[in-house]
Amino acid sequence: MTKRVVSFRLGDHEVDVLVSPLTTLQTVLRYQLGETSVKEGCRQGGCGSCTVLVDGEPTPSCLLPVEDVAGHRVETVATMTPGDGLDPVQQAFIDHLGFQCGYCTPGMVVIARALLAREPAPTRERIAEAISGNVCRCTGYEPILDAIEAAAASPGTAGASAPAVRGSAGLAHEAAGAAEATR
Amino acid sequence: MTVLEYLQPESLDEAIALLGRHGADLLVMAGGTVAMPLVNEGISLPERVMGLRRAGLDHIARRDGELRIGATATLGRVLEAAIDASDVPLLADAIRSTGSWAVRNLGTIGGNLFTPPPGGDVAVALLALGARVRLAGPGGERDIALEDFFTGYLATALAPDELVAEVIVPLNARRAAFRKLGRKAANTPAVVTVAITLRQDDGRTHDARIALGAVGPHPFRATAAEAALEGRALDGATIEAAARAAAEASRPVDDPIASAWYRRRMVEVIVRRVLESLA
Amino acid sequence: MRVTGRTTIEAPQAAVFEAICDPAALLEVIPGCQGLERDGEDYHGRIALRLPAIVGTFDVHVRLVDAVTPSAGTLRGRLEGRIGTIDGSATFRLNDDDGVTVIDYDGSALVSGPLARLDSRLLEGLAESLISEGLSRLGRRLAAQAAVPA
Repeated sequence: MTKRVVSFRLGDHEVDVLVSPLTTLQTVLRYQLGETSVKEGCRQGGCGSCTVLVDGEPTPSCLLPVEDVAGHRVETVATMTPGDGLDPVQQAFIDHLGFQCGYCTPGMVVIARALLAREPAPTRERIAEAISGNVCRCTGYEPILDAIEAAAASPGTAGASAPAVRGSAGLAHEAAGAAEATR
Repeated sequence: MTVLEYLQPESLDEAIALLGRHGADLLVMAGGTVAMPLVNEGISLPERVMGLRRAGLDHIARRDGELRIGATATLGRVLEAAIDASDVPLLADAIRSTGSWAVRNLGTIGGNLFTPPPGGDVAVALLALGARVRLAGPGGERDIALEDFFTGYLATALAPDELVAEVIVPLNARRAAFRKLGRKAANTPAVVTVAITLRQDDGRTHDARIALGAVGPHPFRATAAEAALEGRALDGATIEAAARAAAEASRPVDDPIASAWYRRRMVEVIVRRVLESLA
Repeated sequence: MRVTGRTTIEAPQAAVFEAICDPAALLEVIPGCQGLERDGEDYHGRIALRLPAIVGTFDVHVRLVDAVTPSAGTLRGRLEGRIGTIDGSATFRLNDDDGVTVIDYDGSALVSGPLARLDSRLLEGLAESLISEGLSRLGRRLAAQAAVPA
């Protein structure tokens, strides 16, 4: 088994990591680079706590071999936090009690910023759809929806990681759900 | 228990050659949404893994009235294309119901064909759309209708030295509807997935395709239910007969998501609702 | 895990029993079988499992016991690999039904190791699927042999 060096951009910095084959981006970020804002939850892609942006697109870092981000840009809630304080999304989470234990929060904030970069004025339903891949055990989700709605309405929320506009990629356009829930 | 090598071929030919060289011990992976959870849990312990992300199989193109989608095109990108296209709302609905925003940015259309039941919601839509798959191996390429691709539980027509290269979706103006019943409204495995396309001529139904997921060893067409619609108007009695035939054709099993009993009941309900929406 | 079933094979009972005792035949019909030899009542070989997300090879050690030619027997043994170990036995019974053979099988196994973390229903479904594929192949092989003039 040969380790190799993988080079990618983390926020605004170039990083080089020496990895065993098929090490996940989550493992590299948390355990090799000390980016503990990237949480480890289910390691199945189902909880969303490991969500980061790869080239501006929300991605479960637990399912992605780090070799596949070579030459690409990775952003976490930490790399997206302004140097001099908090951005409107983060501030809104504080103002609206959008977290309790805080474990889902980095993933929620990453998704919120990605959503607002594409849709500056989403409906509450759209926000719910966007965070449907992020599990929260504490808040009951309503304060999180409040926070993201408030962030959308707040001035200065132009997602710093707005990608070249090309639509919502993995996010649905229409609010009409295609899945029904059992009652 | 470590992986010795992660291979990242940069062309289909290179991928096929690597598959030929390493054979049965090679785990082939596209988006990783099925394989990586098992690797992370220590259930799957491959020595060699081949990732197809760089093999140039992610195109989405229209040609000759068909949508040609590379096997490793992510569900997110296919969703964008399907929405832009607006003539495959069925595909868009199915993708929207699968996984989550982030998971759809990794999961691929080809990979969805290998998701164990109750997964494979996009495959159900593709079945109803009359899609075919292009398989590529050292001897060349061959096309196969999607219903012939699934041969059993966790089994497909893919030969050991072949890869899925492309999914081809004919574009035609058929009436279509999709519904997935889950335990939640999103980010949920299916209790039952239903996709139906059909033509209507003078109020009569023709060439219906009723595709079901999560209620059998693999996605399948309920041909007896389709026959119950042929030449008839979509009235209450006809819909009822088709829905019952679909339930009878289903072979659901108990799993952590739902019991077989409940799934069989829900096939009838959801098929009926989808047909009513098309009436 | 427990797997039981019944299949019909369009071949005479004697031919079916003979195939079950013939490693060359089993090599052809067992999905993923990469090598099989027989030494007295013991079979040794390798089987490769090739699922979408799980691959692995198993060393196979199986013994045919309580054989009653040409109608019944028990295969008892172990499959051992990196992804897990399967210890079990399967009893089969052949009955002639107007020229075709009805096979009844009843097997149980203990799974240990990484594979044991999978839902047992998935493993049972997989086992049933592999057994039924194997028996179909056996049927085709015997039909092809019967079609060749002696």
